[in-house]
Amino acid sequence: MLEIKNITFGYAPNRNVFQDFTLTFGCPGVYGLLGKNGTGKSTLLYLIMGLLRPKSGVVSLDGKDTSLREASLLADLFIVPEDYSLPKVRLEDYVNAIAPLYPKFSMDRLSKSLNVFDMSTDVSLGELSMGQSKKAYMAIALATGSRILLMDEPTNGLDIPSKSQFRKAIAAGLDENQTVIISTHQVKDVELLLDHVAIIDRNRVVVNDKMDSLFSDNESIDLERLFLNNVTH
Amino acid sequence: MDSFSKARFLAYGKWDYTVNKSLYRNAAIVILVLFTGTTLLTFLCNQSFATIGIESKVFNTYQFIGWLHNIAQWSVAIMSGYLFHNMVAKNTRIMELTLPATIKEKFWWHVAVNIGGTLAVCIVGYIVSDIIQMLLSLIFNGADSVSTIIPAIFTTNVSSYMREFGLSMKFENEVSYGPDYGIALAEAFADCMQKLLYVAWVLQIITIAFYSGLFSYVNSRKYRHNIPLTIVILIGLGVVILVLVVIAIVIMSVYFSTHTSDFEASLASIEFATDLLTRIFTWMYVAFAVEVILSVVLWAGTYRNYKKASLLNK
Repeated sequence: MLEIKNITFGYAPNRNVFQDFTLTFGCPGVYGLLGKNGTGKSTLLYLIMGLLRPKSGVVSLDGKDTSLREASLLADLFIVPEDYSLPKVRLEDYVNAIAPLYPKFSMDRLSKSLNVFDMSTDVSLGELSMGQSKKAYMAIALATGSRILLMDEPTNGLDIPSKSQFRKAIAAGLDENQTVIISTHQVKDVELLLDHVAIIDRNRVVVNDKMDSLFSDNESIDLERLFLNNVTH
Repeated sequence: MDSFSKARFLAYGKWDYTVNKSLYRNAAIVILVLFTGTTLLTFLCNQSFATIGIESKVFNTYQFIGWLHNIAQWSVAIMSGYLFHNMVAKNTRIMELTLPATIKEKFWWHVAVNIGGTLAVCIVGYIVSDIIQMLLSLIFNGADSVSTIIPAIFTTNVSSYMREFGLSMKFENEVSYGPDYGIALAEAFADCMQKLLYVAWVLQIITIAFYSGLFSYVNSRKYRHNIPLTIVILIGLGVVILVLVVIAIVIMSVYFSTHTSDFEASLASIEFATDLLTRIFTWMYVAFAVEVILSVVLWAGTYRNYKKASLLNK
């Protein structure tokens, strides 16, 4: 269980992004993390990864503090940040370099994801477009077998067919023990993929529920409406 | 609590090497070019002096080795300033901090590749330089002139000069005043110089640890390779040493001013210099201790900064 418990965090000394903030990701599945600009969605992902340390409170995975960045814990966490650049090496070489660090890394799953994305390992990462390198990174993320995958605006930079490929890759590439947390503004791109939704607004979790509970069978899924109904304007 | 896993250490190393292959390769090329360039230049200078009948004192073997030592010393120091090169850009920092290896494993990998790797390249540089100078000697001066520089690598140019200086003083006293005057003093002086040679060599090794500690500490604070700041710190230390040297010269001048005749002055100078050298040993041991302590403090600080690193560090 991934637990964010009573955390306080801020970049500036007198201005906190989170104040005594609590959120729990209980069961595995695909979570949508929604919120207005500046609510701290990316910051929350960095806190989960242990890349930032809360002033108080704790982020824990199965009771272990993620800020300690223990190797065994890090093998169960993987982040695909919004902005990044991959090294100028062949994808195959990069995969061979990163795979030994993740005990559950699956070449089979990598091939499947790359197939969905219509890519192969025989490409140079330095020569890929932004969208292609994002797909390559996501394929690696899925192949690591990490229990918690964090994706910050994963559909940014993807064209329309690639967005569809992304949904297929996520749906096909996960097992029942994995959790994916997708932080995004592009709700239409991911709404059919989500099992749960968490909406944060002004340091509060205003929605944290299963999609099944939020939208009844006869009601069409409309995350945008849900979002607008729950956040302050 | 995470332990140190050799498999994870090597796996992390493989990743780091894959990502930073060009940095490591370029650094190795620059170091080897400096070694071979210095060798070629020194040899050409010696040849030029030889053609006009001057045996070069400036470019003798010990001076040449001294330059190679300097290249090695600065290469290790500067590469220590690249210890956390993965932390410079946000995306590589994210990978560096979140890859599943312990802080110890990552830290020791960087130390091994940046310092151990640089030392290994320098050893190759010494060997290549030796081969080049032997080949050039063979081509230009014949087989009789070929000799290896490897034994001279284990002495320092500064201390070798001191030894030569000590022996020349002994010789000059013998010539000027006959073997009964001042010889014992001159011999004692030469012995002191010999001892100083070994002590200075050890000091040079410790200085490498200190320099690399300083460069890596500055790098762990800002991640950028902050050569200006590091050099300012080194200049600061140099100024302190210079002030101490000036004080020693002033004391020496006062001492000599009380001895007027040439002979008296000569004996006095040897007496004083021997006495000074004996004292220098004490100060050099103090310098050992200070450098060792500073190196440990700097390396401990470097590790602590790396342990505390986050996405927020500038």
